[in-house]
Formats: sequence, structure tokens, C-alpha cells
Amino acid sequence: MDCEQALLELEAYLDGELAEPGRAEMERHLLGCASCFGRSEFRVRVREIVRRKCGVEADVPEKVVVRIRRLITAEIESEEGPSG
Amino acid sequence: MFPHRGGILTGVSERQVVDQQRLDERFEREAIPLLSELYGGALRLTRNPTDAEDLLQETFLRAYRGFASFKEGTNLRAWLYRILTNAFINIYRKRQREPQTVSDSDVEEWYLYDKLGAEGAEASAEAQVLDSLPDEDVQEALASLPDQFRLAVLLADVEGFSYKEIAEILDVPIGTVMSRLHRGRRALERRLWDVMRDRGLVT
Repeated sequence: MDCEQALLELEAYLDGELAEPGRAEMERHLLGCASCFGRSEFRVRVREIVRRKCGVEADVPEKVVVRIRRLITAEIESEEGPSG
Repeated sequence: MFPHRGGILTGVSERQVVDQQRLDERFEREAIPLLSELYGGALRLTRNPTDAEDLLQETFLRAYRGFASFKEGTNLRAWLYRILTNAFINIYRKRQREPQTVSDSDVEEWYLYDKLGAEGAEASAEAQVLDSLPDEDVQEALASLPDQFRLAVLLADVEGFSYKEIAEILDVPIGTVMSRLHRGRRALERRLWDVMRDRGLVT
């Protein structure tokens, strides 16, 4: 695999979506090519930072859980309805 | 637990009642525990707690009503995200007619890498300046992408879905997912550079 090919398939590789034998060839290329390896590391870091900064976890408020459960329960009961 | 059906049967066979009861139990056991995670997804889509709560509610009501069509043993998380995404587009984006493209000049492959490299940083440390941006700036940059690109990047890079799952969630071919993801990520990098420049983190 040459640099051109490696950079073309880098994104799929980093997404875990590059099938063999491309995957093994990519790994061999990255081990031997400082330039492509640097670009690959760069992409990995950017993604990790975006994930961390955008993926902030928030607990669902309990009142929302209660409301949703109540609405679903109402659906269940209305399906059972008096006329069936 | 949700209330159990049973007792007086009028016009509904006992078998239907038992099937529905089993479905309700499965919904409780499998879908309800994903409320918290989906709330995070809703919050990232709407960027506003009140809208996120409404979207979550709409999503779970739709999911409950359509649960019979969910194939047991398949990917429930992706199925719920599909409903969430569709509900989001239906409710919040109906009237939106803004252009759904990013220009080619916004998706130059190594724009950010080259720009940061020109700052003289170590190759391996180039991305680290991004880390000094406040979370809100990065969230804002992602939110500024046209929806189809924003959704692809959110689903892949934040929610961690595979190409195939994203294709199912957005109901588009895998090739379309790859292209939106590619353009969306490059456009995001471009916007991140602009934010860093505005913040004076780079020159």
C-alpha cells in the first residue's frame, strides 16, 4: 500500500470499517511511514477530543422518566378500554 | 412495571392479550433502561433540556406504539436512535429549508492538519490545541453544520455507531453515510480552526 492509497482509506480504517486484507496492509504501511502515521494520529486525536467535548453525559431527570412511564401506562389502559 | 392486562376479554383473543403483555414486559425490560442514554442523544440533537425532554417523550411513545415491529434480538439502541432522529427532523426541522450542503472549499482534506502544522507544533501534539477550546465551542461548531452532515458526525463520532447502523438510522445507503461523514468531519475541522483563530489560540 502506498501513501496515496493509505490516505484514501485512512478514514474507513480508523472507523474500524476497512476489511482485510486492506486492514493489515494499512497497519503495515502506518508502521513504516512516519508521515501517514502522523496524520492518522492527528485524526484519532481530533475525534477523541470531539467525542469528549460533545458527548457530555447528562442524567435524564426523574420527573421525565415518571411522565413517560405514566403516558405509556395510559396507552396500555386505553387499549384495554371499556369497549375492548 | 406497567399494568397487566387480563381479566375481562371483550373482542380480543386471549392470545393477543398475552402477546401484548409479553411485548409490554419486553419494552420495560429492554427499552426503558435506555431512557438515560437516549436523553443524552436528545440533548445533543436539540441542545436544550426542555426540547430534549419533549423529544425523548415523543421517541418513547412512538417506540412503544411501534414495538411490535421491532425484531427481537436486533439492535434496539440503533432502532431507538432511528425513531429519535426521525422525530427530531419531523418536529424541529420541518420548516427548515436551509441549504443542506457544505462547499468544497470547506472540506479540504488536510486543512486543519496543515494549518496546525504551520503553527510549528510537534506532529503528535498538533491536535492538542483543540483541547484548550471550551466544550461549548466544539458543540457549537458541530451544531453549525447542516443537519445531514451534523447527524452523520454525531452518530459516528459521539454516539459510536457503525456505518451500517448509521445507514439504518438515517435510512440512506452506506456510501451516502461515508460521504456525509467525510464531508461533515472535514467541515467541522474547518470550523474548529475558525473558532480557534477567533479565540486567539492560533494565528
